[in-house]
Amino acid sequence: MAAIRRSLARFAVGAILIIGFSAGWFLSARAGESTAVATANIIAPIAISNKADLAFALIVPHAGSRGTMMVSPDGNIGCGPNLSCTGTAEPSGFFITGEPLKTFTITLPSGSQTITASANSMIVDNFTSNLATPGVLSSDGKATIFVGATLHVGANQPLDTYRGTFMISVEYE
Amino acid sequence: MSGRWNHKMLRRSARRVIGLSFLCVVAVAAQEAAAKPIKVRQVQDLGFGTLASSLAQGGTVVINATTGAKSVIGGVTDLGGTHGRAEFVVTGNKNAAFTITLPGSITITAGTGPGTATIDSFTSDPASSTVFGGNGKATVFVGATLHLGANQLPENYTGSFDLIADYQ
Repeated sequence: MAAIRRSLARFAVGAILIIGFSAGWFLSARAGESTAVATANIIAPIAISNKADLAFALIVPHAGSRGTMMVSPDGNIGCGPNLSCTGTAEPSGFFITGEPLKTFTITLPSGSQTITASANSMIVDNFTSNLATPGVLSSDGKATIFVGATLHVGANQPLDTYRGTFMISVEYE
Repeated sequence: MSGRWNHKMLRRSARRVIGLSFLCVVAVAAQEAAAKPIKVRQVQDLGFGTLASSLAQGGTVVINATTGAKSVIGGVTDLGGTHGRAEFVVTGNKNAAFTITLPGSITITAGTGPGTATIDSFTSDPASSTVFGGNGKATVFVGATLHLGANQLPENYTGSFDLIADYQ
């Protein structure tokens, strides 16, 4: 009986080995696989920094009159008839860096901004830039733009130094 | 007496075991004949095109497996370039069902620079399982999501991924 059991066991092991080997070959051979490439081309981020502030300089309003003063992107000054404008008024300058020769657009404040001195304020609006639409970064990835705006001086505007901020943003087109 | 019985018993058992083994081998062979090995062939690579992340904020870029469309989320600007879903042609037994396995995530690297980026959320169209057509073929499209950091290093990034197809 022991001999029979041994023989049976031997055959059983053989059969299991055959089945296992065949099944293993079968399983390994039936799946398929292929490789694809994934690519992404990343270019330099575009950045903007403020180089020169927008300045309306010294303005003296005529008594009881309202007026406007305009600073254009190219540095021209438009002083309203009811104002006397002195000092150095200049547009704001911005420096842009990014990927060489890429086109970009800028976004200026669309509405009005307020500049203040203690409790008093004035309105600045009509922001404009010298940028052709869209702008193009130079071969070394640089551009400079200038921004002008219009200041509204109220009648009997209190004398003071008024300040405010405005934001412009830049992005690739 | 006992020895003769043992001998007969041994021979009968041996025949049975051999017969059973043979049947099993035949069964496996038949199954193999029925299920021919699946072949997967890459037709089109996965491309995210040209992108820039902002200095302050990273973002993600998704290639849709169904439409091949590119969409950007967060501080990433899409600058065109060549983008598209990956495409594979899978062949196997006609009308048989099979499963599609894609990686969880891969890293793509810049050949010349230290930058890396991660691609994950691989999706396929059809989704995780489908059926071969009457001609034993199926086309599988693959999309994924690319993650870019803020101020991601400007480089050309590449990596690779595998699609595995297996009978269900």
